[in-house]
Amino acid sequence: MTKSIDITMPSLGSDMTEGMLVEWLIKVGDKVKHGDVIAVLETQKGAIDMEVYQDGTITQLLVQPLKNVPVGTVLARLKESEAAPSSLNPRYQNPLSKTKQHSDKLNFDQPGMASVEQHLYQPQQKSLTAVQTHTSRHTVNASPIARKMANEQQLNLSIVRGTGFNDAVILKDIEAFINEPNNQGSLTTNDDKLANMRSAIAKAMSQSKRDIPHFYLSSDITINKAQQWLQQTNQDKDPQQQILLIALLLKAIAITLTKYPGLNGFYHKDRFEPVNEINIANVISLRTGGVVVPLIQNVDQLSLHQIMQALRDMTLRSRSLETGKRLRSSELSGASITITNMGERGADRVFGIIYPPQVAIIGLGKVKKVAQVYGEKINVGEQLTVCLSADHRVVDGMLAAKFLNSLAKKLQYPEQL
Amino acid sequence: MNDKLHLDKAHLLEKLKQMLSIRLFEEKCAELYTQEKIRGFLHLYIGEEAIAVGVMAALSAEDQIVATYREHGHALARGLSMKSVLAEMYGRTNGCSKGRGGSMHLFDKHNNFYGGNAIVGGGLPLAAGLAMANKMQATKAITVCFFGEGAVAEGEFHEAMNLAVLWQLPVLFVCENNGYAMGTALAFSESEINIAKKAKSYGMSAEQVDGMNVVNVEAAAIKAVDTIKTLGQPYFLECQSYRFRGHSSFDGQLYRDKEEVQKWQKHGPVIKLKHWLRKNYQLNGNEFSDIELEIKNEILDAIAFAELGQLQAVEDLCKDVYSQKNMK
Amino acid sequence: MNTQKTNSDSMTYRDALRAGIIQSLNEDERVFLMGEDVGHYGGCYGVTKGLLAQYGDQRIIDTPLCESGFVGVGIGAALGGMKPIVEVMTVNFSLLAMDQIVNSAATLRHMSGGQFNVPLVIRMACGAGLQLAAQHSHSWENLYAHIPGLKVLSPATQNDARYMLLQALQDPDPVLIFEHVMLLNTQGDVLDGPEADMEKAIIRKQGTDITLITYGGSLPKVLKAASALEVLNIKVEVVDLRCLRPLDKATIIASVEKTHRAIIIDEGWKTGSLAGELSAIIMEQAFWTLDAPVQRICTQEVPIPYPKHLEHAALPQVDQIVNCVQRLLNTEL
Repeated sequence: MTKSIDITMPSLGSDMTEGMLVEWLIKVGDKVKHGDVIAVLETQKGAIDMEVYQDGTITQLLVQPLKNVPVGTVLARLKESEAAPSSLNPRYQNPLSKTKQHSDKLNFDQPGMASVEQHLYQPQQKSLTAVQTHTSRHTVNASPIARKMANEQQLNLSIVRGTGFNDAVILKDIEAFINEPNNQGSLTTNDDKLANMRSAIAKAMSQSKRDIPHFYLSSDITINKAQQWLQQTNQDKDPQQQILLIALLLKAIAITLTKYPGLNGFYHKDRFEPVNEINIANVISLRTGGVVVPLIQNVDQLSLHQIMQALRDMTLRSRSLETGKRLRSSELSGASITITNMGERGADRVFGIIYPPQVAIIGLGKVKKVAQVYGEKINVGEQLTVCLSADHRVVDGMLAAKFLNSLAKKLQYPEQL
Repeated sequence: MNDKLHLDKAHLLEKLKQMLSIRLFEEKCAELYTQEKIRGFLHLYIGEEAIAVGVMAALSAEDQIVATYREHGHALARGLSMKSVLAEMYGRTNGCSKGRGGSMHLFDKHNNFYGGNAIVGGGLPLAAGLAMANKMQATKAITVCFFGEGAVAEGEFHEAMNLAVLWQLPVLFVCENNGYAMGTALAFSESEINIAKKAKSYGMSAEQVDGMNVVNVEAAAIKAVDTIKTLGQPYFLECQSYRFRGHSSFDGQLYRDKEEVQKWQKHGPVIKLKHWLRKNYQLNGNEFSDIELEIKNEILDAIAFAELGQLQAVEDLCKDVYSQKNMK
Repeated sequence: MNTQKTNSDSMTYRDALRAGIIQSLNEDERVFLMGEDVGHYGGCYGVTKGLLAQYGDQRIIDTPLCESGFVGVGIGAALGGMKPIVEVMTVNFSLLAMDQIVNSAATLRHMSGGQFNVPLVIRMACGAGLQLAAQHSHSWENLYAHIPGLKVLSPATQNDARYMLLQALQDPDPVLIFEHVMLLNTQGDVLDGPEADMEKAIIRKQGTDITLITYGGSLPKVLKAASALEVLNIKVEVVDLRCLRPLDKATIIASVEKTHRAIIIDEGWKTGSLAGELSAIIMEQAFWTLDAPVQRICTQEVPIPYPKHLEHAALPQVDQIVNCVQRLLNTEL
């Protein structure tokens, strides 16, 4: 029997509450395959290609382009193909899937994001069941006047605690929120999308710092061999084919992480849930200001060449305003750990703030020439500082130190990467 | 014919002309309906002209008329112009109800013509109420209520009979018994087919009259009006008649034979009076065709009038649902 | 129209109705009262007791049991220049007169292109609460409020019982007045005149937290609930609709815009109710001012049962209103 499946406005991040359908790239009757790009969405983070997660035939398009709709709104329906496997691609398995097997919208549940979001903002006295109901729905309950007010104030409703009927956000919640001086950062006074992004970053980072007991370790890693190897490998190659240090670093981090699963996963509802895949998000600064954090999936299984391709492609599409190419919805969510590379910008080291619900972020500093002591000799070599910010609720310093040590060793054998 | 009437030639020619006017007007309506100039339901009075013409002849200007949905004849006999009636069927603002009513809802305050009621039996209590107001205000007016024999099966018929007698209301009930309620013959719907008898059972003065004979109807109506005015009682006339056309413009007439229709047509009210006048040398030479020509010209004028009528502006759609000002 | 509260008498709703009829009869000789048992019996609910002796059988007219007949007569008499007050004993029997009310009274003005109007007033008792079971407990104000051409009044206070009839008789069009049987014995102040035009809703209690919209027999229940909520520091605004057709939308919307919440309390059945209509009006005109979904408290979807406890359970009640307000304001304990 074929099943009708709702295709909903995806939540591409904990800070995304609504999105605008810009364009349908398919029509009713079209056959689509898992991974096909079916629409273009405009979000607070720019235009994004929306993928479909099932194989099947499009039966209905329910939302017209250029319409802003809340996350969770059914945009289209498809009839699942007869042959479609009933089990989901493990890539999209949700760490919370045990509690959410009943949900038709499983495929759109972003790992941990909404849940942690809700967890963070749910009033303490509310029961667990209330939280679950809320998280599975994705939409924020808010009264019409609250929505109107939030819209006028460019306020993201999902960060406001609702005290109304069915815990909806109501007028007085908005007023209280606005009048709370600590919340000024979440409010924007104009309709500038960047300002919205600013508030999204502010919110996520504030929450992280408030709730996650960070600790920081750093290690100066010698990369003489890595640099030599890169130089040899890149000889005689077009710039397009060359491999950069960052790819090497990513691969090394990914492989090391397979041995330290305690750093790769989500902290949710007072417990850590490791993620099997190494999905590394990479902070990309936008020239217009702000950042996006697209991810590369299964980095440990990619070749350096593939990683390079992914990085180039992603950087290009992250700056969609300039390039006209866009990120895909799946690339903005589901990362199990984040890398921030401030070395290119000249910083010696960077201690990042963990992006919830992840439990670690790795900061890469700039490559420096330094005096290296080998026995009694001093050599000029290259090194960079790798910093690890980790969640002390999940990991302890010992493990973190071992991870850095292990990473340093990996980088001494670049040919194995 | 009836010896109680002063039967001069002019009066009879006038009755003939009124009946013929209705006849030719209705025939033209049938034609205009097929051209889609007239829409909605169209119920023609052809065959029954003697009743309206005969009864109206007995009335005064202040008397009030409540009619049915087959009321073009009543309206014309009462004095509404062909122009205002036809324009109403065209749905134009120069119609007698400003185009809001159509064929079934002709109204005219000036002629005390209270419609045009299209719910069978619904007009009877209304007429009793008008009569009650006349009685309470001690006016000379009486109210005349026309209805078909089909209405006799309705509860409102019996309620109105009872109230009119109980309260001694000055109302003349005129039952136009054309034998068929739409397609149901009287014998198929009534246990007692003598309708006057039903009225009598309420203690009402009632009689049956040949509804195909305008002179008889007029005579009976004069007597009825006289009784109502002098005794202050209701009165009931059952006028036995026949409709030559279908119930409405869209009627296969499966319920009756053509022979039956033809038999009645031979005794139709127009032809009957025409033959009588000819036989008695009251209708000479071209007089009939002159009358006919005059009527046809009047009909052509009415069509021109209706065609020139304005359609009401859609902005005024909700007009005349409520009165504009409070009465003080 | 506003009258100073210089003089006020306390009287029952029933006495107020009678006083209104008496004043109408005294002020206009075209006015007469007609209906089943209004004369010799004194009115099914005692409203017209003593009037026959006072005004005689030309002005207080007992009718046979023929609702369609005497309502039709009333319409005809109104057309003919009189100002009839027709009493249909109860709304339950008004269905027998529905043809005359809907097909004649409501349409004549329009069908005649504005030539004829029907200055008729029809009074009827309505509502449940006296254990009169399924055929004698109806609330069909909504049925009539649906019909263009009619005006529908629902006096809920003694003062409106006293003066609405006079206002209705001033109107050139047919007006239906619904008198809830549970109000007849209630006592209250009657002023020197009406508090507002008959088509205006009145705010019976000012508040800022939530608007309760109601009419007729439910008003006392709503006011009681409002008092109970006041103790909990919840400020309820109570809108008494008074006129169900045409609805005073401006007053309704202004109140909802102030409080951002509305509950409609309506003794009609919920499905297809006036409450539904009111809710739709609020959605259409005040949606962006709402802070909570509009709620309806109506009669359960069952013919009104005879036993007291079931009748009670079927009808809107004070505790239901209180609970609903608390639920909507999220202040449940």
